[in-house]
Amino acid sequence: MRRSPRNILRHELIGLRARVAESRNPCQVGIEGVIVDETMKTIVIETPRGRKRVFKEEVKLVLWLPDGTRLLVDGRELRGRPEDRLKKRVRGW
Amino acid sequence: MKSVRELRDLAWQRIKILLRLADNTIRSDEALARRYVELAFRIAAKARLRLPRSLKRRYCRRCKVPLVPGLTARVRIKGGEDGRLIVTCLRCGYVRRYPLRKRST
Repeated sequence: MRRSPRNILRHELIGLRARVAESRNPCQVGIEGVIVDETMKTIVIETPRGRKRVFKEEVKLVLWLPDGTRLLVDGRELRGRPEDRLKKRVRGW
Repeated sequence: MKSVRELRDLAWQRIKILLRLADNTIRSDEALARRYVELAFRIAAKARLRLPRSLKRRYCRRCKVPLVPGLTARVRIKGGEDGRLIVTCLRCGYVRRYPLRKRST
């Protein structure tokens, strides 16, 4: 099962290119780079200006999947430790 | 509820991605490489998926650093009647000994 829009909420985010599209913190909008780490509540993006940590709760992200598709994800959908996102959460969206 | 098979397939994909990243970052950022191995192992545990021996032995059991001979690991072969392959993690000092000969029956 490759990373696709269908399973991205349960798949690996590390290694994907991402851009902060919206944020409660206006300074964070536009942060762009490769996701290098993920915790329960945050995502770390590697940018030319260093590693930036953003709260999942506060942002909407544009993700570039390896197959070239681009999608907008609400960070709130990504809550949970990376290894916990693996499971369940069918919830229609 | 997703089937166990689908779950494991998904987990396996994530593990492969993370371990590949770990191997690629070991020379530039060891802490990050460790983090990726740690995450991969946690995902394996969550999905109750056993890693093949080849992968299990590539990373330090204690500190999760990718074991690269000459960089993070020392590999020694002790011959003789009960020969051993001895892998020492140069980061945390953990020593792992693997028997070289199958037990004769």
